Amino acid sequence: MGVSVGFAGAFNRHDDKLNESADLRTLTQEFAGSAFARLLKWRVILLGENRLDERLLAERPDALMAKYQEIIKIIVKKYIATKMFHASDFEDIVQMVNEDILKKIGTIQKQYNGKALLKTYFSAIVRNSCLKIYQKQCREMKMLSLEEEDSTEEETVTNHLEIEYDLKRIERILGYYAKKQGRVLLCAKLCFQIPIERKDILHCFSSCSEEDITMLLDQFGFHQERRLLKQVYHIITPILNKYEGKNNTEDAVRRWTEDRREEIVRLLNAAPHCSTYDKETLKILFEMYSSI
Amino acid sequence: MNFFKEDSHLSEEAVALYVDALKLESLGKIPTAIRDHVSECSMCKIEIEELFLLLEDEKYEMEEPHPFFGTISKSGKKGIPLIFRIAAVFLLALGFYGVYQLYWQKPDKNAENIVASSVSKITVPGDTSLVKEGEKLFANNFTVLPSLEDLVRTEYRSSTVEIQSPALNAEVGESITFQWTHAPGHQVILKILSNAGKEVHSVKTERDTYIFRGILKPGLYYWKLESNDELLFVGKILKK
Repeated sequence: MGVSVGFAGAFNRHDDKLNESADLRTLTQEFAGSAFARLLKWRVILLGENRLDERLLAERPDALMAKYQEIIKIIVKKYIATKMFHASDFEDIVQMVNEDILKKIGTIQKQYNGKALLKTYFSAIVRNSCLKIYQKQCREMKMLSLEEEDSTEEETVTNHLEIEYDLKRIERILGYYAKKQGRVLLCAKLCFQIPIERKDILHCFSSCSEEDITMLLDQFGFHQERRLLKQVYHIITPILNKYEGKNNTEDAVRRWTEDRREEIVRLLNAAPHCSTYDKETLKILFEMYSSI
Repeated sequence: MNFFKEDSHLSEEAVALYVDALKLESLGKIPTAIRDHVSECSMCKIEIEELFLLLEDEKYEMEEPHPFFGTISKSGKKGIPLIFRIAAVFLLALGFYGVYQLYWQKPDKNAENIVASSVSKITVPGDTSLVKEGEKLFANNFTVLPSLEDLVRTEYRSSTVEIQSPALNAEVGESITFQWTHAPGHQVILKILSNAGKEVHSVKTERDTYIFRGILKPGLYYWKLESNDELLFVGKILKK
């Protein structure tokens, strides 16, 4: 407590300096080099970074903004890399994000409940701010045609690494489905005609009988000549209904599977990464995922 | 705390919390309501995935407890509370002390390391120090004890006992058969002593045979046959 009071003095002395700077860019430069920043470092050690950030949000939101400038810059740079913004607009986009967040700092102070880390929560706000700016730009301006001659070269160089990276992403994305992860994976493999394994069946139906496991492996456990998807759903739907206690039609199962497939494609293509997966390339990714 | 907006989608803080869980490998600590919603909602999945991708290069090293997940070790698993760590160290120290006491303490001079099948204790013959200082100490186990040596040469007037075995200075093996003749019903006491005079074994019997199956260290031993009233016989054997 005594330490906090001591530091409050340091905060107050810095008020005048902060008030002089209207521009946040100037503020950031001053902040970085100031004794105030050095004092904050000591406060981090004593309070912990997140608690300090929470106190800054409550008492000195401008200081928090100055501290989080790096987060804003990183996110804007990532969106520039995805060509959402042009590189030459970097400074302007950062400024616009700052202004947008400062306008709603009161709302942020009210809405933040201290459950998530403040820097993560702040990043979510920055992201939404960037999307808002982008949507406004799309409405008001024509998008400039962007140079593409470099992108092909990049793809060639990073292709192998991206596949490994995307395999990790698939694992994370499947995790979003929580208890339904087993069902998603099994149906995706069936839909893509990828041979299923015993563990895939048990992950989906933990209490599956040996008889049903044997039947499913006989039907789908090896590569086959292209089978009609209708036949696949005809076989799998009764099994799904049996172990889930439901009464879905084959069409409902097919639609559900296709919805999940499209959802996964959208997730893989999400900004800022912006891959260009489609149904066919997703199948290849799933085949690779199944083989590891 | 309500993690949902009015449109039933995750609030920004709930999305941030999910991303924290991904970064800190603490998905198991996410509230079930959030996990269930995310499993069903495309829009929230995309929000989470995009935020995660923006922060994927950021290192999340929690030096302090997470406001929702609590203490998390660097591996992402929940750390062991300090009290348990202290208890573990204390138990380890206790264990080491116990081992030290058992194996590294100096042996007692009267340490007994001969085991017999009978109830009585067995002591090391000869010099009580262990045979570890070379042949000189080992030879001590075979030196005669004058007081008992004299008794060996003594002729006993008792006519009730005649010794059959073992012979005087006989070398004995794993088991020793003591045999004598005496009047039936006559109880005798058989004693085995080390060459230092310490009783190694003692047994009362009315029989005329006793087989000793205990373990004797190499050395010279004396054995006595006594009745309640008198000493009947003193013999000498060698265990090599």
